[in-house]
Amino acid sequence: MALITVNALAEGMVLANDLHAPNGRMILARGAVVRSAHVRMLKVWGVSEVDVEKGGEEITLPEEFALNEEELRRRSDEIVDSYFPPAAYGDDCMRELRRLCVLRTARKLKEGISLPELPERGDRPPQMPLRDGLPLEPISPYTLVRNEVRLVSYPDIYFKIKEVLESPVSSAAHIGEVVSKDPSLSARLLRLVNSSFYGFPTPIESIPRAIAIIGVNELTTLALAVSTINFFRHVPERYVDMRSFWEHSLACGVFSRILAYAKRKPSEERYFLAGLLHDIGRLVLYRKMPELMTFALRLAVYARIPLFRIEKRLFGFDHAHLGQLLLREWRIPETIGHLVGDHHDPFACEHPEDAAVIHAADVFALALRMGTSGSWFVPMLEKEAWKTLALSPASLESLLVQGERQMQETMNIFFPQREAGV
Amino acid sequence: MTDDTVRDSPEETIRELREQLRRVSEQATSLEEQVRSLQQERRTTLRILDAALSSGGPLLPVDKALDPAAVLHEASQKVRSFVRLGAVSFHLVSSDGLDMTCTYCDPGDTLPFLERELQFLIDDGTVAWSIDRNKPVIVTSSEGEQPLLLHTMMTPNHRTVGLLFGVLGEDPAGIPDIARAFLTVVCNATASQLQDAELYGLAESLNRTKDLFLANMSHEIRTPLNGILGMAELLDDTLLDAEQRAMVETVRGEAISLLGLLNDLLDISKIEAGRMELEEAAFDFRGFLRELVRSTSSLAKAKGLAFRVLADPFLPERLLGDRLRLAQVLRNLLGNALKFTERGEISLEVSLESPAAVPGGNGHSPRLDFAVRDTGIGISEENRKHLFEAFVQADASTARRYGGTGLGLAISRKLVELMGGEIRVESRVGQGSVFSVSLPLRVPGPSSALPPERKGETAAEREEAEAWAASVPPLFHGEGRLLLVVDDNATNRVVLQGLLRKLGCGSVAAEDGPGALRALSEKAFDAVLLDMRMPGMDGTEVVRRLRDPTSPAHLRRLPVIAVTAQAMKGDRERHLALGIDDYLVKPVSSRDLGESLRRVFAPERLFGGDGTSPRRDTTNGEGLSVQSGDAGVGALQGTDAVENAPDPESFDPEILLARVEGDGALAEQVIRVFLGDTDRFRIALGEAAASGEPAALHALVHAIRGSAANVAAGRVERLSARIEETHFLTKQEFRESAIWQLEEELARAAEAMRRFLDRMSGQGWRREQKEG
Repeated sequence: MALITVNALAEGMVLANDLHAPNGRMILARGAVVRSAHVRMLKVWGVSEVDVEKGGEEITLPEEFALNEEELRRRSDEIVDSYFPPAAYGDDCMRELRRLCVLRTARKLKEGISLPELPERGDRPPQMPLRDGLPLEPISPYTLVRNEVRLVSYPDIYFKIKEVLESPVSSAAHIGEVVSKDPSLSARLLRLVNSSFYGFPTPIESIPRAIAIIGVNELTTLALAVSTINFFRHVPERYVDMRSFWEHSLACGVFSRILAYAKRKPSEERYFLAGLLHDIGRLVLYRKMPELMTFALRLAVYARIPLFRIEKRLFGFDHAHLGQLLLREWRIPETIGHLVGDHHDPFACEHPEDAAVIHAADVFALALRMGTSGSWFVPMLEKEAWKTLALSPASLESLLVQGERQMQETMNIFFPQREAGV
Repeated sequence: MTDDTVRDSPEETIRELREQLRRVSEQATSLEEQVRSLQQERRTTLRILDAALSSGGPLLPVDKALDPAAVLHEASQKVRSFVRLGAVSFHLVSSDGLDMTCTYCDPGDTLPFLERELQFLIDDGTVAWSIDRNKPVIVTSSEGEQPLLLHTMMTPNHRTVGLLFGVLGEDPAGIPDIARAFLTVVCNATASQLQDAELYGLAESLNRTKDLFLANMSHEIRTPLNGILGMAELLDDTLLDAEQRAMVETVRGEAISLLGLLNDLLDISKIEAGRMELEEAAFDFRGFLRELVRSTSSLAKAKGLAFRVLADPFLPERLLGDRLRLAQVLRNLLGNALKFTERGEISLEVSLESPAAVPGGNGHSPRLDFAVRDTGIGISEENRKHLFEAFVQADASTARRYGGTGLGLAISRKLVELMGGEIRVESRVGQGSVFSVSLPLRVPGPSSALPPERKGETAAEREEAEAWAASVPPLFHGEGRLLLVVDDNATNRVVLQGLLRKLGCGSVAAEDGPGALRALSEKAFDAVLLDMRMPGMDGTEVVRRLRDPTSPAHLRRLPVIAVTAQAMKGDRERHLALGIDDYLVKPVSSRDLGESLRRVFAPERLFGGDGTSPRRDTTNGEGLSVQSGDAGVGALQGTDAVENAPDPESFDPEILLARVEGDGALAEQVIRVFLGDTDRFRIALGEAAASGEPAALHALVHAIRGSAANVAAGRVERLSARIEETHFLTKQEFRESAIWQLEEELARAAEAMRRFLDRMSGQGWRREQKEG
């Protein structure tokens, strides 16, 4: 039994296993004899490797991690349990997610890669600050948003991109023109387009070509996303590590897009944008209510409660709702606003299957420890959500693998290592 | 600027103003630009929407096996309407997914180029990349000159059936976003169509296979069976002794049974395979019914069962449908009725239901109803559940006793459903069953079968109705009852009398109130049809006198049916309060009158084979109908022509003759004696009713029973038996009603006997003479 590339296939070889296309379609059964005519079709379907019974040059698989090493296994379990909800054992999908995280953790430990550590649990935070730092009147999210001057003054290019996005008759020429005016935007966009984000087989050298291949609407949304990151990455924050914040946001964006594509949603870039912006409301909270947020952060760590629940209790609203209002101020289309607004409570809205994508992506991002916006614990993803997304334990692994790969490349594009610690 | 600012010099003011002007005109220009670009945008959007939507509605409908080439041609036309293409080709994936071929290319001479370029894109993975991505992908040709368009063709359930591959005829940078979206829509729709066409083709071939199989099976089994039958026939013609002949008969019988079973099996197979098709042809409905009635009659007679047919006088002459299958259903039901009934009667009712008659009918089409009733063994509730399922029979013992395949009802139900109708059963164990079939009424030709109910009849219609009535009796049969028609209007009188005649009733007419009372005193009537509005003494007064115990005209129990010009609210109550039994609204239709008469007289469906009543809620719960109205004393005499349908239930000459062993003279004598007795009986009954003495009444009823038995007056016998056996006479409220009914039956039997005698003497018939 050997894996060979499609190009190495020859007439007469026998399949050692059922052969499926990447989209799941069954092509040939185990024991089928390969004909040269099949090779063309295998390429059409996107099959890259075939398992045949004998002959051919072998491809070595990455070594599967050996879990016989007890100590490593125990430590990985411990680490994962520190941030995974105990209820995860009760749900098939959560259990599988946890298992994959354990494997990943163990691999990283073996490779000597440092893992993010949970903040010190510390003592129980003192009673909620009553007088200092607390406004005399209840806090209105609308006021918060409107007063956030810094966040409101977006650059001209952002506005122009939005215009292109909103017109149904915008063409490649329009967006090409807008984007080309900002070289750093164009550069980042091109790198993104050439990454595993799209996995296009041949290099894409220009924005017009990118638009031709990817699509006008798609690229415009991406441009909006990139310009948003560009704009915010330099915003310094005292209370949160911005790099970590953006890493988490990107991870959520990447996974949202992967999930949306898997569910054949028509505009997966929109989900990328929504995932990217899903926690933007928190930036406002940190900026405007620092003492309360500090308290909230400490309480979250101490009591192992998801941060958004504490937000809700403290302020009466959470960062998701705040984020939606902010996006409205920025006049970002309501479709994206809703995705952000409902990402913690997808079943409260009209189209749960849409917001559930962001919700699940958030969970994946946290499970894989790709940065944080303040919350350290993985929320429980309920059975209903898994069902709405039609996700089964078996489908998780490939999703996570795709996400990891894309994250690596994307982080490099936006937050190259040398800029760490900004 | 405040007031105390130093005033500028005129030059400065001018400069400022010019500056302001410049700024304003800049703004104006920029606004103009914006407006222009918006207008341009709007125009482009409209153009594309127009192109996309006006190039036809949905793609070709798939109602037959479609040629994929036609679908693809349509698709290419649509695509070209909003994207300029120098060449377009479609490449379809085979159903096993192992091959992809170009099925369409326009213009044809671009095929080599396209194939070559496509291969490059397959090799470099672009095709694989775009095959699952449901969006247009624009790349450049291998020599870098031409823009190429790739789009997967994906069905709604994400199955890729092929690729669109073409050469763009315009700058890709200029293609609006909305055009790209439409491209996706067209490709998806085309994929869907192609999939449908494929599935349709599969379905078609499957159906052909089924048909072939059924035809073959039928042939293969029928041939040997026919051989057996044929041989049996030949054998029967040769010299055989009795034992051998009996054996041949058995073989014949079994073979015929087997053939029946085969036909049933084939029918049910055909139906379940969805391959049963009903014919649609016009056929003679009345002839059809006549034949059915004839064959069932003889079968019933052979078993000693009565067979009654009741048919709506307005049944259409011709029907549109499948005569053979309708016959199959009805024969099945009638056959079952015959099979499962040992004594009593079976009946067939054929009626029409117009939308008006159906409560809440709201515009349903008229329906044709058949009801097959029997007084047989009945079907338990348990068995009713599975009655219409194939291969199920009531229970093992029933199956053994009565035989049959268990398919008949299943087939009947399916056939009825295919005809757009429904079939139902009601039954009571030991009492009998009713199978009802309701079908949509379909008649050939543009005219409706139901004549408008409010029009007066034309002569032709009346003739037709009469001819029809002559062969099959109408729904309500008056059976020679005599009614008094009271109306001051001559035409109304004629119409009502005509209707009554059609309904099997005799009638006498009176012009006014006094005339009516006079007639009532001279003759015994069964009921009165009374016009309420007459000059002089009107209907109300007549009724008052009839119901007033102190009045000499008192006829407490004579049914009175009021005929009024319009129905007003509260009419019913007022009428009932007056003592009227029912009322009709002018103009009166045959159906209305029939219904009313039926209500008033209450059908004497009291006794089934074992003396219990299967249904009818006009009974008082003990099986006797409760009546108001006076039976009247005196023999029934009808001066008008009366429909003389023989009623063997009342008096059966055949049985009597059989009893006297064919001695006609003796039969006559017996009848005459009975007739003499009848008068006495009726008087005695009246007296006994008045005195209320149970013992006397009991003896009287017993005597009547005996006489009736002798003379084969079936109903009289049964009724008196029932009265005798079930203590009706002890209960006051039932006593009167029982007596009245017995009087009725006696009168009817007597009349039947008289008619019989008339008929026989008229023909100078003497049986002994014949055989002498």
